[in-house]
Amino acid sequence: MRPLIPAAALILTTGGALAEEAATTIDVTGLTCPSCSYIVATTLKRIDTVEIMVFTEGSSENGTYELRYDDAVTGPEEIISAVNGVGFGAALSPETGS
Amino acid sequence: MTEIEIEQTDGAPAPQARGGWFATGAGMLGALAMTSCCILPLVLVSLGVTGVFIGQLTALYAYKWLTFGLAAGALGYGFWAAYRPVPAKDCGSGTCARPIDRGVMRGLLWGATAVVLLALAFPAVAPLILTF
Repeated sequence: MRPLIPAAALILTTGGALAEEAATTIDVTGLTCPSCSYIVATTLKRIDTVEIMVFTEGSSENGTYELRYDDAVTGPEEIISAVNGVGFGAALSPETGS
Repeated sequence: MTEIEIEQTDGAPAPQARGGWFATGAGMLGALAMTSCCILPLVLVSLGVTGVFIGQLTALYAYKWLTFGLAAGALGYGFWAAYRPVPAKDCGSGTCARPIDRGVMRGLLWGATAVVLLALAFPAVAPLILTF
């Protein structure tokens, strides 16, 4: 039984290191129509490894997307650039995780 | 009710026919304008199209009721032209040389109407069929 404990610890440590999972929150502006938040969501989901965890609609044609992604594959700059590329404003949220 | 449209013997369509086709075209353009704020950009993005114009198209949502008014007016006139009975006297004296099937006009009008209704219902339906 004793050798199993270090082995399990090794697996957990290695697994965590390989995942390189990051989370970030972006504020998007210009959501002027009913499909705008879905257009941005579709754009975000086309980026490799990006997953939308939560979308919160704002009160003034804006919204907040909480995202999870593999930071070995993409990063906040690419994500913001993709959103800007379809004509919406985007910025890292001040309370972003990373 | 007759299914034909009158065309004059000199080959030029009667004014009502021209108006009907013009209204059909305007109705189709109105339907396209109504989808251009919401449905069209979503379809384009889903197909992998990107570009700043996508966001600019969505700004047309502010003019939704204006485009709806124009489309509804054009479709209304188009339906009147497509379904109005043709008076028998117009064909009685040989002025009606070549009957044209109004089915195409009617099909286009119904198609444009369906698109307009879809665009109107989209804000209510979108949360039910789309996910993040």
